[in-house]
Amino acid sequence: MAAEPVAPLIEARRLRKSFVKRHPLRGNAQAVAALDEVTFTVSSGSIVGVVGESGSGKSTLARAITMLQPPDSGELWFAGSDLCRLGPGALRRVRPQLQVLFQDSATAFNPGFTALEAGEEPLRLQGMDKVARRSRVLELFRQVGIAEAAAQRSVHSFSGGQKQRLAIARALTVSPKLLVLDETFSGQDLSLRAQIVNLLLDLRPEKGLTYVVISHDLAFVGQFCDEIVVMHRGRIVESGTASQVLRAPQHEQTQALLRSASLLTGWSRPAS
Amino acid sequence: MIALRFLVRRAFHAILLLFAVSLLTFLFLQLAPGDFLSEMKLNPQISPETIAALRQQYGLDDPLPVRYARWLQSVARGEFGHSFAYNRPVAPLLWERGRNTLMLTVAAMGLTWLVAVPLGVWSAARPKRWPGRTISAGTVALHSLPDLLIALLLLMLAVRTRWFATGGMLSLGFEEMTLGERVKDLLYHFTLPVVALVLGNLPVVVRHVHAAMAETLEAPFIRVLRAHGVPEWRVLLRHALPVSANPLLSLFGVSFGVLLSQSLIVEVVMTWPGLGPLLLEAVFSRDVYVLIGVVLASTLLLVLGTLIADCILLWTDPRIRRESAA
Repeated sequence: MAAEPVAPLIEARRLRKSFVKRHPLRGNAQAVAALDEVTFTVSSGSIVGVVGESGSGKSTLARAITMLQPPDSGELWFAGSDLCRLGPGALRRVRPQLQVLFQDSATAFNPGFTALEAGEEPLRLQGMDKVARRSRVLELFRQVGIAEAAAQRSVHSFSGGQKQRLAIARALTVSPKLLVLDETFSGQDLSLRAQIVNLLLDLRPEKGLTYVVISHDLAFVGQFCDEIVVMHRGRIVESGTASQVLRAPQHEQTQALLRSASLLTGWSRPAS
Repeated sequence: MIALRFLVRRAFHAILLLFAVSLLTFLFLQLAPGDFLSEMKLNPQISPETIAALRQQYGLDDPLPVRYARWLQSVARGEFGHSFAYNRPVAPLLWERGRNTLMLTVAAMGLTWLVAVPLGVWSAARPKRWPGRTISAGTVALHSLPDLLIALLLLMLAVRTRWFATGGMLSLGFEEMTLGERVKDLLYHFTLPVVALVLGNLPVVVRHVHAAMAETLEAPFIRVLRAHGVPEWRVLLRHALPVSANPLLSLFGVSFGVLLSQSLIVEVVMTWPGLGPLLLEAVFSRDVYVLIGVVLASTLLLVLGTLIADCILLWTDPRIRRESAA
């Protein structure tokens, strides 16, 4: 499905972020650009895939647009303000609207918390009372398929797939606008992956969500994204609708990613 | 129930350990030449017959197993042997001195952790800003000073300023003082050795708190909390600190033992009437049963320290409870 022209949810302009890499023995520092003048737009309600090889800067991009690791320079427009210019207090009020799901859901929870406590934690800040918090979290648990009886159990007693569901429910407690899936599906078996993708696709219209999917797997991302952005060495080298990018890849990096995808999974390019 | 079984098992281990320590101390003291009466031989006023009679009386010529068995009997009576130098049973002597050492180490331990935890958390929260850098540099500098030097520097301070006593525990006429004066007098003597111990132990604890916190703060769940906009103080104190607590609680137990051995040095330098000076005297005069008693008392305190730490761990971390049940 092609994205209709709608208002941009998030607009990144000329984002830059570099890391200082130190030689282990000589100690001389060298700046490595993880984001180099990255400009792109995410339309409200769309699913945008960001693909690239390891070290291409896609995870840095994920952390930059959620302001977990603010960019060094550039502008990041969301809901009428440039997040890079916001003060800490104002930024904290915006944060709930930008949520991330990480690859390893096992480490994404405080190991000492129960599922319910973990789900309630983000809501404490919004001054919601205990009863309201609890009913909201349990409702979300039900929607992602976690039984109410299990909510009192410690998080580490859940299976990997259930933890992923808990993580989704927790992210949704604060009614986010944007959900960044940072390699969320890597290392999952195919049936689990399909379940989680279906769950996310079901939740999207209901909750008015926009997804940014970070992945190295172009073929997988192509299956359910509206738009695809290809990154290489901190730059966006190609972007367009999913069908455009998959059918007629322009940049050699995109072509390489497609080749490796079809090698691994036997997936072949859709016939044009 | 699990806790009880755990405690019984640990108590059993502790008894075995104390038994082994006493046996080894006995053996090693046997290897060292001379005994309590060796020095008397040099005194021309004491006849060889008197010395021989004393040897007989103390049973110093009996074979090792016999002496060890006799000592065990005296342990069963609650005496822990007889001190040659003080001419009284060892146990009450140990209790008097041990109490003073315990007072010093417990106060130093409490103060160390009270100061170290906030410093460690603060430096881990701001690793690349001035708090983190200053605290790191400070702890490294402090850690590289020998305990003895710290004690001597503090003594110098006490002599120059006359704010603190340079030794001892109580002033003359303590018995006649009012309660307020007694507290003041105790603080006057107490502060310096406690500060010496705290300064000696602080860097290690701060570094450990820093390391444990820094590792936890890297965890993805912390990032999730920050993404939710959870305030930084809550991220640090409600989430990161409890999660980092396990290695710190274990360190808490071990640090008690470390403090105890540091305390022996500080006590000698500052003439605090604890186990330290007693141990030193006993070594010089070859008062073997006192020596064994001090070694055992130190071991016991170390074992108790780790036991307390393990009990806290058992109480705070459900995972450990499950493992010990299995």
